[in-house]
Parts: sequence; C-alpha cells; structure tokens
Amino acid sequence: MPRWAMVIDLDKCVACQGCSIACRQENNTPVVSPEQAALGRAIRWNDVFPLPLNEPAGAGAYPNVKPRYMTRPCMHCANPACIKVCPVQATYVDEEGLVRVNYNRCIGCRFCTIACPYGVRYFNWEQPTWTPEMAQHLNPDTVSEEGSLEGPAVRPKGVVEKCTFCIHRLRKARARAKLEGRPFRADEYVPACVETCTARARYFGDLSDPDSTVSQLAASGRAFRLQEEAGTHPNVIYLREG
Amino acid sequence: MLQIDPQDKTHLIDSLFRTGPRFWVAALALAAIVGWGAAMYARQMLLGLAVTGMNRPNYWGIYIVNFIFLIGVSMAGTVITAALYLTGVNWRRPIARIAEATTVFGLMIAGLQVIVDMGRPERMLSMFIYGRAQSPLLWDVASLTLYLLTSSFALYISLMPDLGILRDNLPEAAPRWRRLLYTVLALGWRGNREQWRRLERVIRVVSILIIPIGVSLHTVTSWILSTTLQPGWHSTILGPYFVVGAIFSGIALLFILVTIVRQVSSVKFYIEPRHYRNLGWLFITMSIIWFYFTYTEHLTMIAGQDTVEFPLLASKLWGQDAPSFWGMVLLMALAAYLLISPLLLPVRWERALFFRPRFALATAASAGLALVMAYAPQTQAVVAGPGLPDLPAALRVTAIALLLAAAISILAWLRRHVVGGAVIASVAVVVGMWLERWNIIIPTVTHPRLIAWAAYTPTLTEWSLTAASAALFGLMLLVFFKLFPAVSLWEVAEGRVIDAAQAAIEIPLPPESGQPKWQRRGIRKRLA
Amino acid sequence: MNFPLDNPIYRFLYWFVNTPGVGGAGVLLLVAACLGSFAAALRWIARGAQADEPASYAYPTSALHDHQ
Repeated sequence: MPRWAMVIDLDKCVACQGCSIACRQENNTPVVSPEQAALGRAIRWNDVFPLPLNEPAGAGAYPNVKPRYMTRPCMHCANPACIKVCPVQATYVDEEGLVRVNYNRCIGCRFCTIACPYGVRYFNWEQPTWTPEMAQHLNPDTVSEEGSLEGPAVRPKGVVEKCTFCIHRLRKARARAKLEGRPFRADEYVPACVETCTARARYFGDLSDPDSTVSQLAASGRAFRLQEEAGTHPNVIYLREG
Repeated sequence: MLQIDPQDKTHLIDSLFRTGPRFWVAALALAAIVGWGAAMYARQMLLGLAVTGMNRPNYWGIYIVNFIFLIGVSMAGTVITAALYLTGVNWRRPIARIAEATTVFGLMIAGLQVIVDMGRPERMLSMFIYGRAQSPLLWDVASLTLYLLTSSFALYISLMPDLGILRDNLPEAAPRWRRLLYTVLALGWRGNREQWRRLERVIRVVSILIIPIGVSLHTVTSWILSTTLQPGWHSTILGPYFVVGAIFSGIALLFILVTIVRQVSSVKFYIEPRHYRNLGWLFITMSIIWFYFTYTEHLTMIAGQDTVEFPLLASKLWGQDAPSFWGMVLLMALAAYLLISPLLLPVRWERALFFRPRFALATAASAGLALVMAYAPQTQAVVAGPGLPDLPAALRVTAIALLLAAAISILAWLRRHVVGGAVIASVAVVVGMWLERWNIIIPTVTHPRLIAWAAYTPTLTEWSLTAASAALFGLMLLVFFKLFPAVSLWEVAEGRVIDAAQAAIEIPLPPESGQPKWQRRGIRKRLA
Repeated sequence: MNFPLDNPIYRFLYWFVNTPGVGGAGVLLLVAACLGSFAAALRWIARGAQADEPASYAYPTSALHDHQ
C-alpha cells in the first residue's frame, strides 16, 4: 500500500499563493464575505502565512527586512491527534495514510479542530456560498463510498473540512488505470497544489517506495517536519531554506 | 393515612397550593427569557454557527464554558448530600432536596449546552449509532447520562415518602390533577416498617455509588481537555482541579438557591443560620483547596516556561486575558475574606463605632469618591513639582486605605448576618468560577500552536443562550418547588425527633483520676 | 520489541475503542443497566407495602430498624 507524502522546498517557494488558490478552486471551498474573513472564518485548506506567527515586527525593520512564509497543507499524520477524538468516526486515517473527513457523518462538535496541533482543520460556520461565476464552475468530482461524502463534494453548513491530498484525483487515476488494464503507478496522481506550484517547490509521492522523489528528498540534510515533538509523525516534509 | 406535624403541614404543604401573583410574574418573566433564547437558537440553526463569536482558532467558546460550569455546579448537589448522609450529619436535612433538584436540573441544562454547540444537532443520535469508545466526548456522554439518571433516581426515592404524605394530606381545594399526580408518583407508598427498611437500604446504596459517579463525571470532562496536545490543557492537574472547582461552585450555588427558596417561601422555619455556618466551613475548606490547585497549576507553567505555554501564562497575568484572570482571583479572594475574616474578629470589638455598618458604607463611599477624584481631569491637570504633592497618586493611596478600612469595619456586620455574608461570598464564587471556566478554555484556544493568536468576543446569540439557560434552570426549579415541597418533610421530622432525643441525653463528667503531690509540683494555684 | 497489535488482547482493545458503534452500544448498555436496576429497586420498595404490618409511619427513626 502506498504511503502518500508531500515534500515542500521552502528555498524554492516564493509565497505566490498559487497552491492555496488552486486548492480552493479544485475543492469547491466556499467564499466568505470580507467581514467574515476579518473574523478569521476564511477557509484555506492550504494556507500560506507569514512567519513568525505573532510578531510581525520580527520580520525586521526597513531596510533589513527578511519576510518568511510558510505554506501548510494538512500534514496527514501517521499518528494523528484529530482522529482519536472524533466521537463518531467522521474522520479517520485510511490504509494509504490519508486522513479523511466524511461530511455525512460529522456532527460539528469541533473537537478535531481543537485537537489538531497544526491548525489544518476548518469549519463551515455558515452555508457555503460562491460568487455567481464560481458557482457555475464548481468541481463536479466527489468521493462517495458506502454512504460517505468526502473530497470536493459540496458540504452543508456545520461540518468540518480539510485538505484531502486531492483524494478525488487519486480515485480518478486509479479508475483510469483499471480501465486501461494496467497497474496503477504512484506518480500518476498529484494534488492540485503540487501541479500548480509556479516554483516547482512541491513534490508528491509514495514514501514507502525508497526510489521515489519524496523518499530521496526526505532523507536530505535540509529535511524537517513541523512540531516533531508533538509525536504526530506528519507526512509533509519541509526542506529548510538556504 | 400518614400523619404529620401540623406545623409542617402549614409551612410545607399548604404553601404548594397557594399560587400568588409573585409566582406567575416570576414564571412568565423566566419563560419570556427562555422564549427569547429559543428564538435565537432557531436563528442559529438557520444561519449556522456564524452568528456566534467563534472562529478559527476559537473553535470552542462560551457554550463550552457554560457546559463545564453547569456540570461543575451540578456535581456538588447530590455528592454533598450523599457525603453528608453517609457521615451521619443531621444538619443536611432541610437543604437536601434543594441540592438534589439543583443537580438534576443543572445536568439537563448542561447537556443542552453541548447540543447548542453542535454544528449539526440533528445528527445527535450518531453519537450512539456510530459512537467511538476512544473519544473523550463519548466518555463524557456516558458519564453525564449515568450521573443524571442516578441523581434523578436519588431525588425520586427521597421524594417518595413525601409523595405519600402529600397524597394523604392534601387540602380540600386541591385540584384533581394534583391528587392524581401524587397518587401515581407515590407508587402506593404505605410507610410500613418493611418499606422504610427497603427504602433506607436503597438510599444508602445510591449514596455510596453516587460519589464516585459524580467525581468521575468531572474528571472525565477534564479529560476532554487534558488528552489534547494544546498548551495549558495537556496537564495532569486538570482532573482534580475540575473536581475541586465543581464542589466549590456547587456549594456556592447551593447557598444562593437555598437563600432564594428561604426568602420566598415559609421554609425559613427550617433553614437557620446554623446551616449556613456549617456549610460555610466546607465552603472555606474548598476555597483553600481551590487556591492551592490554582497556584500549583500556574507555578508549573511559570517554572517550565515552555514556548507554547508561556504566551498563555503571559496573557493571563498581564495580557489579553488578564482582566478575566485577575477578576477571578479577586472574586475568590473576596469570597474567602468574607467567610474567614468575620470569624477572626474578637467579639469584644464589635461594640466599637468603627465596626458599625454605617461607618463601613461611609468609608467605602469615600474611597469611591477618592478614586473618582484621582482620575478626574481636574486632578490630572495639577502638575507635581518640588514641594507639591503628586495628587492623583495620593488620592489613589487614600482610596485603597479607605477601602481596607471599610473591609475591616464590615466584619462585625458579616459576623452577625451569616446568611447575608454567605450569599455575597457565594455570588462572588459563582461569578469567579464561571470566569475560571472561561480562563481554562479561552486563553488556550486564543493562543494555539500554529495559528496566529486571536481574540474572542461572544455575540448577542451566545449571551442570549447563556441567559436563557439560566432562566430555564430557574423555571424548572420554580415549577418543581411549586409541585413538591422544597424541604424534605420526612427527613426534617426524623431530624426533629433525633435532635429532641439528643438534647434530653445528659453526658456525665469523666471519672476523676487523682494526682500524687509530687506530680503536682510546678502547677500554680488556680487564678481566681 | 514486539509490536503490541500482534497480541490478541490489544487487537481486541483496538477494535473496541476504534469501531464506530461499539462505544455507542456500550453507552446504551450502561443506560439500560442503570434504568433496569432503578426499576427493580423501585419495584422492590413498592412491594414492601404488601408486608403484613398494620402500622405505618410518616417518617422513620432508628428505633424502627432495631426491633426486627
């Protein structure tokens, strides 16, 4: 079984936010009004945010300014803190290492959003809406297995959502391979953010394959994971700048 | 036909059938607030949780604060009465029914808070159909349900003999539906020796079981927080801390409710200042234990200075959360002061002019005046120079000195008015404990690990639902105490017999043992 | 070091805590046991009225239990 992982090279990332926008288009993320966004209710499965988080002055004073940005999808941890606390198994980790959310089961208790130490989970505070143009171009893909509703499917209000590593693309790639009567290869599928990255800073693949790009990069001297002390074993590996 | 003392009949039974205008006014006012809350909730269900002040990262807010607070205050009722029953304490008798009713209704309202907080409340039953045993939320559901059922049962079985008495001693004008209600609920209570034997056996077993169940409820609630990785929550102390806080706030609420019941009905006859004094000792003990736990929790945070936890502590001590943190500490200190200090005042001093309540009020008013003057624009205009006094600072110091004087001078009044002092302290504790629940949830959610720090402001919806929950709690108690006596008839009657018998017992002096003269050396003659 | 899930006890515990519905069933079982025992206790108390004793008391004292 493949173990999906992502490597993000922070040296190449220019914080263009292309990944963030591509993700939102691909996954039918609802738009919120400016007032709601100011309240902190904007949904960005892949979030690009400045570092340090809480001291903007730490980025330096002109002319010695060194802004740093972090781009952060869901870590798809091997030992996730979020799935343990869900009372109804609306979120679970599957055999391929993807942490999934089932919108049909979620009761909206928001325990998982509180438990995640990376803050990758988002909640639909209101009924999802889009601008008229966007509403005409929603992604029709959904992932629906045995009554679940996952992926880019249009969610109702009151449920939790997060980055799925574009699981609908995985399903489509697997289905295509099956149709063409050949085995599925791990490099046939990439999430939207990896495909869009203008700086080619993102890599995606199977960590259980020692020859894959992600496995080779994960062994690099520049590799680190966020909050390793939390014991969550995230599957998103960053390559240090410089 | 169960016979009771005619005094008990007048005080406790006849008042149940006289519904004056005060009852209807209170019921209608509370129902109006509940109705308003229901309307706000309907709006929340329609528009989603966007109508609240919660956002990312503040995924939990005032609803969860209310939930933990209400579970806390509920815990004390039945646990206290059970503990006092098992230790054979007699003064628990008049307040037992109020305590048990508080627990049952408090737990129901607490459950309501969780439902209000859910994003998809219609999927409530999923908790049972798909419930996962690993989730602390499910442990909490199990524990809450268990405690609610057991305390309802405890309330019912201690109510049974009273239902029998009510059924047999109804006034002539009693409506038929009430006669039917008591007859049905009494389950054919006859009160013969065998029934009493069985009832007391069941009460004893339930009292023993309910204490661990009650303690487990609040421990399990704390595990919802302490099993996560979040700063300030991932601590072993949260379990006992919640239990102590629960008993503390529960006793406070009990004081308030007992006083309200006492003021509006004729149960004043049964609940005397000595009950307040006795429960006050327990209250003081819980206050000290609470301070101990709070200090320990924050000491480890200060000493460790963990990078994710220290911003939390900084926020609580001098940052965003400082008003609620120091507000809580001040209220708790005030409550402790109000309960402990009157006992330290020597009785001889009470006569002095300094200790008249009018003096205290005048001193406090002067302190307020001095404070107002200290911050008035006219005073700020006075420039401090050589020889000129720093007027605002001098006024502030005067205000504080006067406030301290007022605080000492009020001690005599507090000592004489045990009920008044206990109620003021209880209100301070109830507000302080609500702030403590706020201080547990909000600083942690506003200072997450990988999201920028944020602020949380509850909206009208959240305050309305908080008020409506309190109103619903009050309404339930109001209706309950109109249908059933607020003081347990059979328990106080039994207590009266026991007190009378104990007063008749004369305990003799112990036998004297003489001392040889050589051992008496060094003992001076008794001073006349 | 042995992986804990090789042990059947841990496999059972993993199934118990993880499977949706098992926890819910546990809660419902607890509730049913509670309600059942309360109903039985109430019935036992109500049955006590059928004992062949002419005297009835509005409230008990310890003297009621001493002369059995």
